[in-house]
Amino acid sequence: MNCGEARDLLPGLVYGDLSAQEAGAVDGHLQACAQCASEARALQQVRQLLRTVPGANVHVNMATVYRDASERSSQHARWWRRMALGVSGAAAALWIVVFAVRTEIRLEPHQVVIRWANPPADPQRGAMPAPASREVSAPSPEMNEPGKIQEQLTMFGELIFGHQQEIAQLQTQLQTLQNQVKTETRRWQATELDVAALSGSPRLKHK
Amino acid sequence: MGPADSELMKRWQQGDSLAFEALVRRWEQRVANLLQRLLVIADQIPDLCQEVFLKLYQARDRYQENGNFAPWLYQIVLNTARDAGRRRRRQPVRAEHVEPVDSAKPAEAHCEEKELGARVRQAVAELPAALREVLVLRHYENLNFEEMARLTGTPASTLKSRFASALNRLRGRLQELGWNPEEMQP
Repeated sequence: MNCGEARDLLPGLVYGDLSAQEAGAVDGHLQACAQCASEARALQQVRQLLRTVPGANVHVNMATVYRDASERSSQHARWWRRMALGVSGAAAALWIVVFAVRTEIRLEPHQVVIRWANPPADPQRGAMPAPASREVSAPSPEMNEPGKIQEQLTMFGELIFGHQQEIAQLQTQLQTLQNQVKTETRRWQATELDVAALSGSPRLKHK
Repeated sequence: MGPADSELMKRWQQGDSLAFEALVRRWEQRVANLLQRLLVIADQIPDLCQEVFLKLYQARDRYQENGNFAPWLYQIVLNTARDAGRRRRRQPVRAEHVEPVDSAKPAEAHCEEKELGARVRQAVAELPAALREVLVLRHYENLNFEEMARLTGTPASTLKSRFASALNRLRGRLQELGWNPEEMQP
């Protein structure tokens, strides 16, 4: 055994951690090596010096232990309550974001419509059938075509023009009838004057 | 010789507070000594000792009887000491300063046992925490390296190396503080 190997084992020798074989080998080296023997004595003295370190004198206060345990238990319970409230609030917020915001509630004549999620972009290609409720606000794809709109506008224009012609004809007829009424009224007055003149009726004279 | 620690733990888990108090009285001095040697700050030791037994109280339901009460308690003490060490690093406290002994005079003339103890305590305090921990567990608690390895989760070979390093550093620092091994009575 050389000095390096012996010095590695000196702490074990001082504290009795070596096997009998190792201890014998180190002892044999120390008898032949004064420097390593001095080193071993120094470590043995360090071990003795460590025993001079004073210990602490402590008396645990049981009442304090019980009180602190109670306080920490209360703190723990409060912490869990706050966590539960926080998690519940977060869950509610998540529910609102995911579910309630995407829910459409609409009042229509004779019905209330509650629908979740947006309608499919193209009902013809969508896997799900279109909702049963009639969409008033959303125009159908056919109405979005300019030609169709123009055609309908033309049709509406012709309809309005036809009604205007009917109104004009009716106004003409009304004017004709009013003129006839005036003519007939004048003729009736002339006839009355003639009758009165022929019969000398006082009533007619008075009139 | 009273009931074993495991028996006291079992009674305490069943609600016997006197068993808990008996455990505290049995271990308080040993825990306090261990904390002091691990941390070397005397004024914090009573509070830390309270903290250890408070943790023991709170961990009552987690304890499972397998004859390992002492290692379980050691684990609590080591964790408490490490936490306190981290707090102390954030708020450094100056160690008690010890003047070197005049080397011209023999050590015995200056070092009464109390004074010598203070110097050794300072030298121990100046060791890195990992070295100090293994030194304290081996020297004061008389744990072997396999027990320390289970307790700290560090390989026994590493712990042996740290222990040798701790002893050598301690020896060197004590000589710097005026200790002369040649003058010490065997």
